[in-house]
Amino acid sequence: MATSSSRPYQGKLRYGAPNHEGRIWLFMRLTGLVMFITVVFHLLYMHMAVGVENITFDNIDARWSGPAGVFWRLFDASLLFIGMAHGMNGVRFSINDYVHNKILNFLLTAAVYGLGLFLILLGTVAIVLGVGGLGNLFQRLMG
Amino acid sequence: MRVKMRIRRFNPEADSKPWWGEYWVDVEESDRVLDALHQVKWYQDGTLTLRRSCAHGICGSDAMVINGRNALACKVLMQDVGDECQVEPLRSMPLIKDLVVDMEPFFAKYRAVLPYLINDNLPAEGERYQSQESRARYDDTTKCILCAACTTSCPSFWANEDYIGPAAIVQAHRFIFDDRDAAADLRLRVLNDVDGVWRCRTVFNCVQACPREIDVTRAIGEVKLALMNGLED
Repeated sequence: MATSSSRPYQGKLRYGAPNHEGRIWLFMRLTGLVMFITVVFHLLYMHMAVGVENITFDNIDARWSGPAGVFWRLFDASLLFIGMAHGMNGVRFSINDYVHNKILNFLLTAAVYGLGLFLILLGTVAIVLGVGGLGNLFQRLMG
Repeated sequence: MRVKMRIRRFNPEADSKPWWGEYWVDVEESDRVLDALHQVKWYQDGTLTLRRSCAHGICGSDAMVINGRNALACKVLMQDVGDECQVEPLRSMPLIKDLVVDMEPFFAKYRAVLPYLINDNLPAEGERYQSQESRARYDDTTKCILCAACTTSCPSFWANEDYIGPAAIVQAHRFIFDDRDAAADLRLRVLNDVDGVWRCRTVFNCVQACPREIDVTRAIGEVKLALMNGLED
């Protein structure tokens, strides 16, 4: 067992070196803060200002192609990317906490990442091509 | 008052799995759960096995799960538990007998954070002086009595016994933030691990469980920040 460190305490130690898990911890804190603002705004705007009964295909299409369309697409993109990254990592935490079998742990983590990336891709296509664009893309893909 | 004691029993030489024993005891409202357990052991069933030493909330040997919450049996009053009192051994620890668990894995983690003053430089004036402000920096974490109530209340520890646990982090905090000590980097290296502070999910169970009212989650947060930013005076 290490019993000594000959370096005396000099006020500021150089150990400020977070590892991978430390950086992820910081990422979760920061994205949590960002989402606290964006999700509350999203809820207030969509559910109070717009009204749940008015959230339709056309409503979103109009918002995305209107004068503030770029802002709304960027805002929704931030919800999509930050929410998915934060959420997927949360599920990864739970898997790491509870699944000790290495193979099962790997398979579950891979499944979560796969599903998450698929949803991110789907959302990105919608945001880039617009609401109708996604439908058109599907139609074209289906022939 | 007459109280029904429901006690988790297990004798490794006779039982294949733990079972519930039920006992009725007459106690004063000002009696403690430990007194009720003594009544069972001394007058009803001498085979009941529990660990206790000072019986005054200092030695930390009678931590157990009382009505679902981790506490010291010598600090919980019968008037606060009601007519039914359910007592179990600490969770996620190897069970030895009845309410006695094997504390060795817990103490192994305690030893891992080097819980003693490390400083090779001799003090200038015969002893190491410390300002009141510097002493106050880690005052809260000096109160730990190593009862394991916090660590065994932690869902991260229940899920994964490799987690070093809140008690070891509290003990590390006590030395990391002591300006007479020179080995904070060694301790931080131990805690900068997926099974170190980063398995803490800030559930706050440890704060509720601590019989010494240590702000455990705050101490863990301070260690996390020290890992992120380095230490400052």
